[in-house]
Amino acid sequence: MSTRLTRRLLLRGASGAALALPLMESVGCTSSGEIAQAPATRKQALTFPKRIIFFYTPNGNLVLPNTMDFAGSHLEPLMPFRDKMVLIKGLDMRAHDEGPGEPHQQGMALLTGKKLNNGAQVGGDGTVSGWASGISVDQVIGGELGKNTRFKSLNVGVQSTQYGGTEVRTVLSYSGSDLPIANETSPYALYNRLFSQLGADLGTINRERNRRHSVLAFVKNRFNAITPKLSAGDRQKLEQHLTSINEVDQRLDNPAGLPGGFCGQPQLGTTLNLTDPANYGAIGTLQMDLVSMALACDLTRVVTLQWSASTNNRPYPFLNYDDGTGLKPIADDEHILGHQPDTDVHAWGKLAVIRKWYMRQLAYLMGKLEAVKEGEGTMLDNTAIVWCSEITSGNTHSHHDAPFLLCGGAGGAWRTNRLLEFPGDVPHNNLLVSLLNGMGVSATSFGEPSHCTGPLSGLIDS
Amino acid sequence: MALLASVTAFAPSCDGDIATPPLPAISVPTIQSACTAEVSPGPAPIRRLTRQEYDRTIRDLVKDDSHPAAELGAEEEGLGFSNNAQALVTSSALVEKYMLAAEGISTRLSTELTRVTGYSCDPGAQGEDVCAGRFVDAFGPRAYRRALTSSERDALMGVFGQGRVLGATDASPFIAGLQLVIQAVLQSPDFLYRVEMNEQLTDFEIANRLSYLLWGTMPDEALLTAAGAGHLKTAAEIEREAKRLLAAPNARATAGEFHRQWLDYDRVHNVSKAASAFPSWSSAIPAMMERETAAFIEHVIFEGEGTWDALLTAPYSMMNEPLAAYYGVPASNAGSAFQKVAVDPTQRAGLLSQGSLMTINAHSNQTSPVHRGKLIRESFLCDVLAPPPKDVEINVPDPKPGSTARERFAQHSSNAACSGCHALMDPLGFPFEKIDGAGVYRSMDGDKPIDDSGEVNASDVPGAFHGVPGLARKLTASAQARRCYVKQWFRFAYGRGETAQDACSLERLDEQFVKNGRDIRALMLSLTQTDAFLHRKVGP
Repeated sequence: MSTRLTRRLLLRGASGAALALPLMESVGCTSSGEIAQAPATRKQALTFPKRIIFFYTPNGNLVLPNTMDFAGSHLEPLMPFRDKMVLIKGLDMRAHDEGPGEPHQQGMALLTGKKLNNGAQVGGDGTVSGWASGISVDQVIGGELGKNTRFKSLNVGVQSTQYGGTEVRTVLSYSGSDLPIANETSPYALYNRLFSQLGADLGTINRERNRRHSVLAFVKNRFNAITPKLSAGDRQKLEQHLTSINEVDQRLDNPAGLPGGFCGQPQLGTTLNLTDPANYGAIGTLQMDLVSMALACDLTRVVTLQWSASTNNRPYPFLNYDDGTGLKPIADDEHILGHQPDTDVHAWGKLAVIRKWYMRQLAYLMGKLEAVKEGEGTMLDNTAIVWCSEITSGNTHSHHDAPFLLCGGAGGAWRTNRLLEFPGDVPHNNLLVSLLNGMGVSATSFGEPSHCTGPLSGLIDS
Repeated sequence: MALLASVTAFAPSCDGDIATPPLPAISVPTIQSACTAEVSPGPAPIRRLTRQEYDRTIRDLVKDDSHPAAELGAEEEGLGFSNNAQALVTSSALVEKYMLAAEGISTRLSTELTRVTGYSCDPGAQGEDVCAGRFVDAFGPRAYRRALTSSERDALMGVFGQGRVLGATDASPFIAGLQLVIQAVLQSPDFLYRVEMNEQLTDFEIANRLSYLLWGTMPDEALLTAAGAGHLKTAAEIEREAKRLLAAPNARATAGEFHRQWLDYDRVHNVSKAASAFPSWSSAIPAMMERETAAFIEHVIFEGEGTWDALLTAPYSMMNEPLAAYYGVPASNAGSAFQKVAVDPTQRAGLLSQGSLMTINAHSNQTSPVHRGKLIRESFLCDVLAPPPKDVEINVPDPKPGSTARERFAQHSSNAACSGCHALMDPLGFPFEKIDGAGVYRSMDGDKPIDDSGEVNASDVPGAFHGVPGLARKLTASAQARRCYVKQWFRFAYGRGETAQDACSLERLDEQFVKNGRDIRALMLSLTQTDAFLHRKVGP
């Protein structure tokens, strides 16, 4: 223990004097792993499925309060839901310090717990890396929870492809090494995939499904005819395409959603310009509405929601900050704001406005799920929303002492209304193991084995 | 800090693994030619249609201009280009979207089958099977962009039969059958990929290479006919067809797409500017700036001088009246349309001073000499810079009266931890200082006159210069910048990074580029004459 702290102190010391204070606090205040709170209520939810949503916001910079009183903190908007939350402090994303890439790229292997591969993807500062080197936890959970749903997972973005294409900073989810799953960033395209058949009569649904099976059978034959004649590299590309076709073909037979109760056609409203920074919040709301409805219709049980690409260079012109000369729109590049030293009051003041706004969005999503009644409880009681980011803070780019939020009852997988603090080196891979366990997937390790020591102690009662 | 050592003029690259920093410094022999008697095509990974290629192919195949690929989502990028073959991955979400796109196209087409070139048939009079056969014969070879084998034809007729039996909403059994044929074809690897099998490229494979390189779409009838007749075998035959394609409007779109992806200037839509620093900025500006840059590039290449030099130094841009007014550029001839407008050649030069690039590479409340220098170092000189230390506090100095950006950003050169890399960027960024952070020319920074001197250090064009026009002249004189531009085209054209086996192809491209007066259309033509284009090596 003491050697670990010493090593960490040395590492942090090299980063500059500005970091000394937060470090002393974290060393001094965490003698016990858990801060006592009133016992959380556990709802019985045996007949309803569990769901999980990964809610990613960029550049870290979220500061958790020291108690379950959120007043004045970034989490203030989540006050109404705090009895359904677990705050986690002090995890170390150790795998992400290794391997190629810059910290914003490295940290996007968040859900894989493994370092990035080598490759030719250019990061924010010109560094290159490849894709992640393993499957992400959402896809493993999707394989289990989503066995019988129409979609194994929904991987959704808001304005998350800001660099033009899909690259390591615009992806959270992987079906395997070098197999990124690009985000669906258009609510309109997402709507078409999810709801175009919702409410159609059974005869039509069956016929359409049979037509699709028929087409895919032909397409598979074409792949099988061509692939063996190709070089190994090309073969791998086409085999991977064929694997995805097989997956789609199998899932065609899963239910396409039955309208009724809380499941129905969502409204899209007026068409939004998807690239305008001013529409960021409105697009996010739309994506959250579609995702909530997809869960209510049981079209999927696993979602990743990536707000922006990591490094996020975009401004927040729809939010205002008063630097003493009156409220003005936040036109700054968010990434640059995060690079400012802790002493820059206005940069961090703007970032606080931005963080609180993200927490309001999280509260909105929790409210949407809370509104769907399931037995004695709500869909929120059967869902885990995991807030996460790729780095801890923008001016250290550290992957250490990272906060996580678990929101929702997770189907009773763990007790809520708690703050768990982890001094020393506790890898976040352990949290990934606990998320698997909490969602009913048995596992004792996940990601890079040398960075995983089992489930996260204290989260799930043994 | 060994940052300087990690900068190389020509990044070493083998087997597609372009650059894993830090890169060792290498010396490049420039005298001995990389070309030998042996043909060296480099790798040829299988290529999938990009969204643009999908849309244009559907437009040309069935005259459906509804951009169905808009919903496919952004491609995985490699080396800054969205057509990098190695980067492309097919998730089940993408498979679903190919399915939905194909269904949409087949539904829109079903009422107007004559939109398929060569199809005309009356199922009532001639029989459904006869007409289905005619449809397959007209549609299949164009969608696959090659001749069909008889078993392939039979398989498609089988799909027709199944679709006919299964039926469809709002369609006769005959149409329901054809719809299924269309859906099957459009999800086949033969349509979605550019399939090449052997060392010896077929005429159809060459036709596809030509058409997708120069037009970003399927071969037209003339090209398919030439391929069918076996007239795409020699370099001269291929060059003749390439010249024809280059003269058509589709080539403009392709050249435009290359420059857009190379410089990412459409990111101008992502920026926001502080009203306190840039009061005349408005949300209407980004779209005009994007349009300006696209129109400027197209004008230089296809209507103007046509050269790399002009792209860098042209004393004009393309503006409409509101944009000219925003820049404060006199433009008596400009109306609502984008017209050629002369700019002061002591203030602005070609591509480099474009409002889009200047606005992106700036902060919300001031310029960024660092980002502008980085743009030149990385995109125009193809140098790879080492990343900043992870824990660096990038303390962007706030603009304040009485100091210029050069003074404020001077800390980079005085702080030893920063100076290694910043010495390579900042002297290339300071010359831009007379274009403000929102693209407008100025001579003063606050109340101080601007020093716009700079230097292209660690390059083949050392020495001091002033302003954007000075930088543009330096870059036109730089073989490194010219070869970098050629290398970017190589990556875009062949959908991959350069390898050691491509040394001769790159050398020939550069040689021809110089010989042709650095004409960009000639460079596009040369891209059809390299070993990398004309030949194929079956990969491991």
